[in-house]
Amino acid sequence: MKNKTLIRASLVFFIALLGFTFVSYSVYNASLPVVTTVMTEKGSIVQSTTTSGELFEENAEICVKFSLPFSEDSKVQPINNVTVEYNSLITYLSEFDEVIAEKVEPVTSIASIKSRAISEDQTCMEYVAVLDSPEGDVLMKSNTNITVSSKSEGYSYIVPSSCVRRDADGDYIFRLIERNSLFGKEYCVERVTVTIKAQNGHQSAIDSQDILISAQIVYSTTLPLYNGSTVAVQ
Amino acid sequence: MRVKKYLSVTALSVIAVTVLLPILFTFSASLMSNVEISRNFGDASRDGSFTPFHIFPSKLAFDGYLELLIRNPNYLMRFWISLGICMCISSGQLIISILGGYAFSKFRFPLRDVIFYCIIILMMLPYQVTVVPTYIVIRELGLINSYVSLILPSIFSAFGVFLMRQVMSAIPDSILEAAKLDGANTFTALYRVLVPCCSSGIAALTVLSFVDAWNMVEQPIVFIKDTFKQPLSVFLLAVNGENMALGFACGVIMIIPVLFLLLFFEKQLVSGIGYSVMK
Repeated sequence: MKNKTLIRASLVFFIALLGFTFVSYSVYNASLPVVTTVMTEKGSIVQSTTTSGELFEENAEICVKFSLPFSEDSKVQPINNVTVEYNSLITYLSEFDEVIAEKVEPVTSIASIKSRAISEDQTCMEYVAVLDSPEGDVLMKSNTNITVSSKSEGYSYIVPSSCVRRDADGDYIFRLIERNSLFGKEYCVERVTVTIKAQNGHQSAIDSQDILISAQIVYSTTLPLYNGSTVAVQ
Repeated sequence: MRVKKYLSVTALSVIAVTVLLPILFTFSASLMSNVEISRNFGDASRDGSFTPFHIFPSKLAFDGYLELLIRNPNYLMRFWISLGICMCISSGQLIISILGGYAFSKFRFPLRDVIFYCIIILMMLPYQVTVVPTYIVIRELGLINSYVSLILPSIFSAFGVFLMRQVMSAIPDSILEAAKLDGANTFTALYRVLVPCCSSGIAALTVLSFVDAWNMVEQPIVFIKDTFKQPLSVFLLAVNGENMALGFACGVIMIIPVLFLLLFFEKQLVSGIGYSVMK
């Protein structure tokens, strides 16, 4: 009698545990954070700043005057030219040099820095640049945008900026790692501390003590991640 | 006489409470939340501090069981792995021990007693003494990191051979001779006659070998390098540090199979172990 009860109880226990194993396996798989990943790339980062300027004519040259904060001066110095977007009256001619149409269009030209000086109020740097080859009839009083771009040095690891996370311990990324588990191969994330070397709006050049060549870096996730979290890869 | 009885009952009650209290605590703590466990026992490891006696949960919480049974299949998978390993070891030990005991008790061969004394000496050696030679053998066989490395060295048990030898020695040779007269060969006599007569010893060996394998810690730590392959007994150590409620829930799950086995073979276990003290 006692043995029968014990056998029944143990059967119920083991069958229940088996059921829970299947249930927990399904729940576990469904509750994993789904991540998307990107690979690190080699290359350089183009950093750009846009400001507005004023066009004027001087010694038969079209010049542009603009100012930038001191912090942006380093972008101007290495290459000493800027990209200027301005409005110009473009004349379209036929093959017999007859004017077909005249349109005001935005035009982009390169301008070489002619002079740079600290502003009178000492809050920024003031520049004067000469348009190398102005196109059309430049409208002096139109809106002028000046884009200062500087191409950074070559970096080993460039990732989208959203890959780089920050907390009290500094900047870090999550690297995807494949590992063996009880259920075969599974993916987990590993926190890698990084230093941001350069950044523009959408890309960051990072440096790390770990080797990140061809590493898969977590780009987005559906749930918060922690070091060692098991994830599903989209 | 009555005073003596009261004294013995009191002494036994104290011993019973001392033995049962950790088990009761495991059950009750598995129903506490992590916060409650940390609040009451968080300072237990700190020198010079006293842990309050808090045995019953102030509020029932099933966090540990939810994690164990629903949220994460890792623990239950380890439970099944442990169970599989234990069943392999137990059945292997039974086969080897029965055959060994049969040979030592019913056959005469050169150096029989010397070999038997060697086995008794082996039984006296702590596991830690043989772990390095065992590791070298397992490594040379290329079995490191596989469950076979846990099963293979464990299927020979000096105590098992000794116990079965003692149990079989108690059975008269005339029973075997009668079976042989009826046409049974050596193995039929063992299987049909001797084994049914040794049921209590076999039951005792089953329980003891299962419990021994169920609680093994050193072997998996030495032979299994991948942590994800570790059985529940080893994994429990890691769990206890991170999530105590889960650790206690795992402890409860670990107790239950052994409890079933002990209750099932209760009578046989007592009489079977009795053979080991026979001359």
